Amino acid sequence: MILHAFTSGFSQVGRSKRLIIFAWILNVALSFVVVVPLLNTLDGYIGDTVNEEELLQQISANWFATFQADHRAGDIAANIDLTIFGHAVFYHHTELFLGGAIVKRIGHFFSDLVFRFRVSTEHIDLLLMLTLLYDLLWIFLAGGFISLFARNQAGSISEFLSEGARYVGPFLRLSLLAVLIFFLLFIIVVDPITRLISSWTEREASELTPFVYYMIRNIWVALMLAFLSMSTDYAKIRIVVDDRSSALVAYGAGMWFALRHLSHTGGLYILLTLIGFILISLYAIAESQIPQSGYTTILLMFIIQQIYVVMRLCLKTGFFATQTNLYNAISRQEHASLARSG
Amino acid sequence: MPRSWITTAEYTLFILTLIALSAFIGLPPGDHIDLQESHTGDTAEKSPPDRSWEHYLVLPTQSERIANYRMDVRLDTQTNIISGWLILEWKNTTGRLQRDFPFHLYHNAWKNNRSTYAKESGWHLRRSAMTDDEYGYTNVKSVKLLDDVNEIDITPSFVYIQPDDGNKDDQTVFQVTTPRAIPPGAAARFKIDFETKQPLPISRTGVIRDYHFVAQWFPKIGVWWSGQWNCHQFHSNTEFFADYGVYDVTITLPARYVVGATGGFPEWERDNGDGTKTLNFHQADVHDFAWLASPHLVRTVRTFRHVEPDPGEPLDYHHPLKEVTVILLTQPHHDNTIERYFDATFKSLQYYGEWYGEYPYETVTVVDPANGSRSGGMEYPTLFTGGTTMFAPKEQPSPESVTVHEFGHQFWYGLIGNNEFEEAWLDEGFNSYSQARVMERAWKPFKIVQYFFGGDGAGTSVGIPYVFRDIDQQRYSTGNLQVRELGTYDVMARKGWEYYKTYSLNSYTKPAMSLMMLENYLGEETMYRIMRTYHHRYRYKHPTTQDFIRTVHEVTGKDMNWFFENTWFSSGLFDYSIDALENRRIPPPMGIFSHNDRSTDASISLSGRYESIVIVRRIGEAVAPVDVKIVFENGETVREEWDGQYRWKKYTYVRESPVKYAIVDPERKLVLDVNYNNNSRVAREGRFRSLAARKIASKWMFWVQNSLEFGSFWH
Repeated sequence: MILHAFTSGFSQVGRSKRLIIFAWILNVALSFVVVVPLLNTLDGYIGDTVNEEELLQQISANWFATFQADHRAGDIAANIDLTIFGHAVFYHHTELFLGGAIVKRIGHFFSDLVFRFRVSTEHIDLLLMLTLLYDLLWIFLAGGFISLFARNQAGSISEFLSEGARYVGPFLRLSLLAVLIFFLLFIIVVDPITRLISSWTEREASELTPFVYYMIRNIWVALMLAFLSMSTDYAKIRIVVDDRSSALVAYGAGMWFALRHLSHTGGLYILLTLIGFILISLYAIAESQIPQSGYTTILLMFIIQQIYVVMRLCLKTGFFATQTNLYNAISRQEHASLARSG
Repeated sequence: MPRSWITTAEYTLFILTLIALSAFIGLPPGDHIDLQESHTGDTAEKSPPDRSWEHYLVLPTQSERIANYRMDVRLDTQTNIISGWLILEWKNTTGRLQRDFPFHLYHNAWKNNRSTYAKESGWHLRRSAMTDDEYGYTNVKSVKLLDDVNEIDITPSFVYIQPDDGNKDDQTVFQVTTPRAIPPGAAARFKIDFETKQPLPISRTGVIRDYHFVAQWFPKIGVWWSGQWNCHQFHSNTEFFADYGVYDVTITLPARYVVGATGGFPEWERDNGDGTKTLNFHQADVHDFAWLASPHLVRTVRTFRHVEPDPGEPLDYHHPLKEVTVILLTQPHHDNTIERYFDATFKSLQYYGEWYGEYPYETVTVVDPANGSRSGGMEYPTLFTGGTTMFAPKEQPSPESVTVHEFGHQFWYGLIGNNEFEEAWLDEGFNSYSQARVMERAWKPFKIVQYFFGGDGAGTSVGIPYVFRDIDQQRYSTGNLQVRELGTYDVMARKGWEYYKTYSLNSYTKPAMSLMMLENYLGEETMYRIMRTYHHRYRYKHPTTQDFIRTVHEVTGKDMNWFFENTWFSSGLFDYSIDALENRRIPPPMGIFSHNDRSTDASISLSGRYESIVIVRRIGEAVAPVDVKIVFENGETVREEWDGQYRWKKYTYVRESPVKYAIVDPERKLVLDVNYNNNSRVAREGRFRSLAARKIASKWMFWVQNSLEFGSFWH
């Protein structure tokens, strides 16, 4: 059942290339909001110096530190750090993700707003605003994708958009619910556990002990987040397929479905996650093999980066498609068995 | 529309968008410069440097042995109390009668939160809540003056003094007065009964679990220096100062404990049959004694044997060095670090020995400190602590960097016993400079490493390392920024506890960078001569900053005061820039070129040539002579020397070819320059678009794209 859902799901993704390219263009367009100012800054900073030639050969830690120091608060360039190099980006973002960095910033912003009547701008920056905007766009796009996948249609852009618009309300409520649950999970459970690990192991002889604790925490958090994300996915699917309007009920139903068929839902999720890891590994290999010191290799790497982003979007929509197929398959099976028993 | 057409259209759309997006990278740039093109390779074979001066340098075989200690102590591992007695034989080399004798009691810095150490740390001991049992102290029970037959109890004269800040709660210095004065050339013998309670690890000493690191643990006499006693209170930043002597220390402790100590192997060891053992350590010509004990230490012993240099090795500093026994004490879970510790120690023995003078002791003990012991990265005579994590990848200089640094203190602190309270740069700065040279000489560049997915624990930080394979660790990579940020706060040459925010900068970074700058200005060979001469001349002594400056003047035969005035005795910053680079084609002559109807055609020949103007500017207050390199389009290179005295200097050239680029300080001699980004200017054609900027921006773009994706996971 998993494999069937997987193959049929990706076959649907294959038929939605235009939509994925559309999503990719959105991703690119939003990233340009912060990339173009940085590019201009770098142009001015490097352009008429011999650093141009030196940096093409090798990134200098000294130069980078100076650049960072010259562009502090209030500057887009203040956001960049060494994790833009190599494939550290995956480590960095995964770490932020497992620490709930974005969710906590959003949560703290709103909790300050609601409980302290204070607009805490320290939690918000341009990058976070873009992320929120991107989230909103995907709340919209997810409706379109799931709807088309549920109906197993290629669909035109206009159909896609109208279906997206149709579900934007319940999906938005669902997302707010999800962010609240994630926020509470981090504040009430994950952060105290992290502090506990630190204090429990403060006087341990070997650093292996805290390391193991942190890895167990990471795996546990990853599993929790995967389950919650899966629940949100199935909640969306139920909203579309079962035409539900209550986000809360759908969330509960999604969670119940994911839990009740954990071997299937979890198996599919793991399979998709593995593909994600393979994608990252392929990117990492390519990145390490291509010396980016000349025009051609820099351009080649840039194209590989974009291909990776497109593949990742395929995987993201693949989650929707395969999970929708799995849901439909299980539902059909359940109906059939109900019919037989009835 | 046929389906295949749609598919083709979709792929075409993607490829076209990708191509359009690739315009972001831009078109192939055509005017990148080749920085190597104008380098004039010095292919002439260098004649070997004249090293005849080395024959006149003689290392002293022993110190003056002014402060000689015999101790007998017992460690109670239940109470963490070390109790016993010491007999100090102090030789009066002061040239005058002495009656008042100040002693350090460093452990009293951790007695309460009113000590000067605590006060300067913000009224705490740099730990969260401590129980009374976790504080430390040294309690002097009695002080007696010994002569051949009598013991005179001088305990009633015992008084705490606070020479630095008058803080009456500070008990880190006491003074006793003898009933009769000790004449010049005579020796005073003091017997002191004391007990030292080890604190929870605070500042490189203390006990955690069953790991006891015992440093600065006994009453220690001050130094008669520059005509007065020098016995400072223990401050939150400063370190130590003591006279050389012979240490003979007997320690009794539980038999299962492994012990490391100044002196290396015990002279003798005895099993007391009651579950304890007694060990005796002996070491001459040192100014401190530290030891550690834990049942879990793993001891590995190897011998350093000096390797003959390979034929053709650059700049031969080879001097035969004696064998040294290296005793490595590691934590049981750090098996994987043993080879790295030995490798780093052997390389340090080699390079420090070759450059400055032979390491004179029989042993050196290298300690891999226990987690949470706060004893890592510290130096004591013939013993030092490293520190690393079991997760350190080979690309990260851990434990290499700390091992080289702390070993280096055997030379700069151990053998050259400068006053660390007042002139910390003479050991920390000199050693950081030496460390950087060893790291560069002995290893290929290490890489930047960052840890992910972990956090604090076991007194350290843990996580999964990520190696930035394309980014080398650079010497003083953030040093220039540190100087830029804090350099104007203080003049470097100040007492350690008088800095405002800049102890680290002015004790480590700035002096190390200054010495590297001095080397760049004087050349490697001259610097080698300076450092070797200074080390030979002042081994087992207490040199000062002025002693070093005198050595520089003597060796170079030059007045280098400008250098020290602008670095060590200044808070000014170095910042030179190429402020402008302009190329103008000289137009054809127009107008009247005659005088009283007689034509003057002198300037006609300039037509079609280029007038190039390069303006070099000194932005910072600090002044140093700098080189300026100007490279023309046709490959011609001009080098100018500017004294840097005035704020700017204009260079004008009229050539067939315009200037391609100009660099001030092209060899980066001026290590302390706080901004290298403005040191060059390239005459780019038209609207130049930086490819390096696109390289970095494309990585940033990918980072942002991924960030957006990760950020949208939760819904």
